[in-house]
Amino acid sequence: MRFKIYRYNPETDKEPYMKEYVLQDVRPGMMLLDALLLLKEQDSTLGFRCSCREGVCGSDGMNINGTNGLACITPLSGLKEPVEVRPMPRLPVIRDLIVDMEPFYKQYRDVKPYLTVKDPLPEVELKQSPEDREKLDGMYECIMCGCCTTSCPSFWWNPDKFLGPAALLQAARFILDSRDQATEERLDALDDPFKLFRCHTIMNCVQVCPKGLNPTKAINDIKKIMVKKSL
Amino acid sequence: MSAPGLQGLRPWIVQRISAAFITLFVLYFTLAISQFETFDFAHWQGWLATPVNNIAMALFIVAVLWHAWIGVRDVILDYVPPVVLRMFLYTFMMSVLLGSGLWGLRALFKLHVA
Repeated sequence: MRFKIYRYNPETDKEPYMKEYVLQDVRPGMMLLDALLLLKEQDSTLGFRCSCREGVCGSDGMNINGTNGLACITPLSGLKEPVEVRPMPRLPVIRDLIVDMEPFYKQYRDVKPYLTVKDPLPEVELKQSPEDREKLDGMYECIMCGCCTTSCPSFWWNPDKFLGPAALLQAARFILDSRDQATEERLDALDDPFKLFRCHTIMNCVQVCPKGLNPTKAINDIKKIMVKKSL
Repeated sequence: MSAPGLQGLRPWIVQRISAAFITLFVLYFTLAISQFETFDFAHWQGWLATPVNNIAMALFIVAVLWHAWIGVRDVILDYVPPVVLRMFLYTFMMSVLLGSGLWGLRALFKLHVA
């Protein structure tokens, strides 16, 4: 099987380039990450992140034949040759397929992804009804791989101002949490031309999310709540 | 608090309300002109001279221009990062849209008082 992989080492390369690889030992059921690990045996300088190998940790997000995804859960059988593998778009490349996730994490920190409670905290726990808990389904499962945000054209255009689908999904997760008491502040912080409203419902985020989540719906839910509050 | 014209929620709401009004008006307008016996300037002028149609057309002009402003503003926000160029384009587009609006409203007003 043929591969074309993005290579760039800022210490030795002037510019990035695509390097071709051939893998002979392709067995049924292999995932792209298995192939990358075998290619790394051929060429130990190839750099990429991985950890859990089962789509849980979100370390191996990359652009595979033009679409973002996790290498560990992308079957080789479904990929057209040569398989073009590039780093996730619009994040600084540290080396080869390894990107600097800091801009992405900054967006996450910006939405204050933690419960804010103003009342005195109870001694044991903050209770929540099963119905209220259900409202968080489809939001808390995010593994922060960055596939959605880096596939979003609004992020490519305004990476420093638009918060991106992953962070906005988390903003919705805390706005909709019945235990959170900073809803007003959270909504006020998002009422800005860039942070939330650069989303044009392009829905690349929904297409690429390896966990099947729907950040576009979460973004629209935030807008609906904002409208209700403003009436 | 954002600068005027550079907010998030308000333009988003205005864009949707104006879109709904534009759709309704276009339907009403199409239905109205389809009832004309002859399609000439006199009929057109007569239709526009009635207060309801005159006001509806005036609101339509405002809605179209406001909707266009928000759309253009979004395109500029997406594609034009340099602040100076962005400000120039805002000013240019605002002048074009405002000029068109005032010109259209003046024509309607003249028709109404004539």
